[in-house]
Amino acid sequence: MTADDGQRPARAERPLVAIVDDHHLFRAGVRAELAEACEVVGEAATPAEAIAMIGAAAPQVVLLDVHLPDGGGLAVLEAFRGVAGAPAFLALSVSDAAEDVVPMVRAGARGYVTKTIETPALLDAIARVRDGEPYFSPRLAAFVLQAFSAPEEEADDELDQLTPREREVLHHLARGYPYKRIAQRLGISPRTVESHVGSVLRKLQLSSRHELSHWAATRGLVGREE
Amino acid sequence: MSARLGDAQPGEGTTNARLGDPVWRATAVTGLVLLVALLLALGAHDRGPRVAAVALAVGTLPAVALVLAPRAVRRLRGDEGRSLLLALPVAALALALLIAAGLDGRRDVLLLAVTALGAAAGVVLIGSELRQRTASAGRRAARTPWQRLTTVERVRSLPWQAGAGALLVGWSALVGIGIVGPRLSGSGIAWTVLLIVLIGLGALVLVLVPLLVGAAARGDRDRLAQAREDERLRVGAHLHDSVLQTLALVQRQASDPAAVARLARGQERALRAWMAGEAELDAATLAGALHATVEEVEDQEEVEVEATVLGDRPLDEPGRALVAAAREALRNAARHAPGSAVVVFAELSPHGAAVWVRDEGDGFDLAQVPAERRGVRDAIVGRMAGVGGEAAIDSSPGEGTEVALRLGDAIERSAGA
Repeated sequence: MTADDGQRPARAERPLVAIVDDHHLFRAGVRAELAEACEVVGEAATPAEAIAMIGAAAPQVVLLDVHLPDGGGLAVLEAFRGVAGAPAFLALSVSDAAEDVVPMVRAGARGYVTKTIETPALLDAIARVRDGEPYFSPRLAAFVLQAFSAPEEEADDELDQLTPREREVLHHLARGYPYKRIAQRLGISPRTVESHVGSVLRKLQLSSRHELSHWAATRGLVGREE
Repeated sequence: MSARLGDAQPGEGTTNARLGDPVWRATAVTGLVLLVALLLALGAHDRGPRVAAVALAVGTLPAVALVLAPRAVRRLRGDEGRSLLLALPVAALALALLIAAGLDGRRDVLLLAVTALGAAAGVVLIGSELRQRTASAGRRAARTPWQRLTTVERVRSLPWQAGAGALLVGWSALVGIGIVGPRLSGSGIAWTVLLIVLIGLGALVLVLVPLLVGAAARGDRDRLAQAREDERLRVGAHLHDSVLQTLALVQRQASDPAAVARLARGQERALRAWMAGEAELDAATLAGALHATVEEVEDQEEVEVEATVLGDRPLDEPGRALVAAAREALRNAARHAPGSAVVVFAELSPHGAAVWVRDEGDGFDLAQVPAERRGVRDAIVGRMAGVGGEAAIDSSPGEGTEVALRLGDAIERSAGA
């Protein structure tokens, strides 16, 4: 949705992509969709296969399904956490529930898209994460905004708070604005918008769990326990 | 992921978690201190009751200050205060006896105080065991994925707490009888009968408590199984009415791709709402009404809307006006920005509401809006103004259009920003 109208300097080479999904038909479908613009270098159906395949095929971007047998997409993300030269992971799922979206991004995925995404938007997302940027769909931005909407008294850790600017950028993303328009509206450069989103992603991955339980509680997901 | 691991191996993890828990450590330490003090007091009573009283007080005070008092406060704040309420009179009696012992220095009074304290502790232990056993099964059944992810599973296999409690109560009863018995006037036979009755009662308690605890746990398991079965039937009934129905329709209309796409989209939306627990809310809340409106416009105008609603509030008169204005804005977006995706973002709270409807269409110059479109705009702005709300339209040629609708404290926040 946050398509950037191809304004960014596109890298000439086609991105090397791997697809990890336990549905054979879905892999075939995505492979066909991506054939125009990407090089699909590998496929896998389970976390174990995926880890071996990624090591062998060295893709730049891995499209990673959330719901896999034997540990889910999280298992793959855990395996590559902190590994130098690891590919960029773009989580891909039919689910857009917060409890699926947020753990994947916290575990290291650079973005999250649902499987109903249109091909151009998917290509944009792949190009973005390949270039080391995060890709936040409006819904993901909204969830993240909510994850950080803690009351003031919890200002103990800088990582648990967003700066007003980051909040503003995220708010615009949630409302469906592309980076270019956010930059215009806030009077900053698109690069700065990107760096704000990047630092939000970093905070999301590093902040204490407390904030996110608070987030779950405000969503009414957690009942009152003593 | 951690949730699944946590469920599988409760044994070692809980011991470590307990040792790491400061409350647990404080309880264990004060318990030990109390035990040592009791032994000292019993050993020292020959040297004079005052020494024994001091030893007892040293042992008792930390127990009261560090364990019983905080627990009492915490329990009484919740609705779990029953076991403590039971034990409080006994503990008060013990305290009174302790003071009396300190004042007049008789060791029998002192021993009575000890036994009363022991009985109080026993009642607390039994009560807490029963409470945990009955509560944990229900809580596990009510867990959401997030709770399973964030809470540590605490499983106790043996009713050791209740057992220790029963032992304490029994011991206190025996010692109490031993002290009070000889002082009672009356014949030896009456006393023997009383003793037998009391010992019988004690034995009954010893036998019954574990049985009761076991029965409560079994009852929980049965209820859990029943709840699972009910849930399965409920899910089955829902899938039958919705997904299977839609699949049947899709098969019959396979020749009409547009109809199939519409069916699939509508079903997808309904299923998501149901999984998120929104189906029950229906249109009784503002979030439910917004979702319903988005769905309605999507179907009527053949447009795709990505709607994210955070928070919720009851649907009141201003809320209904907000929904009507949002519907107008959505229709506008669908008509004037055909083919582009429409994004709806809503932040709702009991004190206010803000909804943004944005399209990626051609946009327009607000100053040069033809009269008939101004009418639509007035419908949106006027509706919001009529209920004390606010509507702002932001558009320029080539940049798409965004309509912002606000109620309550969202207005002040946007003015302050």
